[in-house]
Amino acid sequence: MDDRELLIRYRDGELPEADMAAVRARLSTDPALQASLSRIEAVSAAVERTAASAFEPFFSTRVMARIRADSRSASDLVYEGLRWAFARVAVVAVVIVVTLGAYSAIGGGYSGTVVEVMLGLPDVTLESAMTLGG
Amino acid sequence: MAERAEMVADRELIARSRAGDDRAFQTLVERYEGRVAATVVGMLGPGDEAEDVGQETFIRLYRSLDKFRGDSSLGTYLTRIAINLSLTALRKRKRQLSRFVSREDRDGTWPEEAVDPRGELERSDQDQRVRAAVERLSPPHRAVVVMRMIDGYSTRETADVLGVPAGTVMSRLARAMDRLETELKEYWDG
Repeated sequence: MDDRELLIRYRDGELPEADMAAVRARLSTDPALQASLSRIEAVSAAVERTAASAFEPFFSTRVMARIRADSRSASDLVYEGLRWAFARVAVVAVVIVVTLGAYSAIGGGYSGTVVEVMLGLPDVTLESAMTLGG
Repeated sequence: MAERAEMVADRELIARSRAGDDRAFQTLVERYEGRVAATVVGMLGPGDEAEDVGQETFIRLYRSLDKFRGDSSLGTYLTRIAINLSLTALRKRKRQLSRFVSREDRDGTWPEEAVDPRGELERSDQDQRVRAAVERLSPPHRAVVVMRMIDGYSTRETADVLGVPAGTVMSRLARAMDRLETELKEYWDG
């Protein structure tokens, strides 16, 4: 630790008591060290004086306005996302309904639906159902 | 005792803010505005950029309320955010400056930066000179000066916030003081 670091820590009371005493003893006999300490104290005081204590007036109001704006932006994003998703789901649903309708309309002699075909169900008509019933 | 009471009040305000009480959060902003202003203005100088970083500091706090566990005081937590955002702003500023300034002094100085003319007019001549000298320090040196000499943190606290050893804090501070003394020598001498 050089003298400058030593003096900064001395000034800020960050040295162990024994070291504080040693620096005090040196200061009492060393004018150059005293001058160094004086310069450190002067610079420190000058820097401390430049400290800002606040932003422009109504800072907290501006912060809260930004937070509210951010929240609105977030909810807008969710709304837009849902709108985007539902629009595509609606298009897909319409395509499926139209496809199924077309398939049923042009299905030829077979009257089963797509679901019945996929599940391997027999072709049941009202007439065959009544026959089975007796 | 007063500090302890304030800590309790902080916790209560944080809990209310988490529950959606905006008024409680605004009270926290008002309580810590001064501390954040000292840090941010010390790092960036007065002006719109400091105001923006100050606002962003509190917005980051608002977004991380659920994560804040109170391991450190709220003031130290805010200082950490403010220092990190300021360093980011300085890096961005440096990138912009580097388009015009090709040389960065290797011994810790920073290129001359534009200062807010309105702020300049409002400050005394000495404050202007001192602030200009601080603003010419490199960001790592400036951060140590701001935290130790303006915010009043100890060497250990400064080291914790900046994530560097205490010895590094002291060596940076000593070097920064040396530079400030040199830059302001004419002024002290008269």
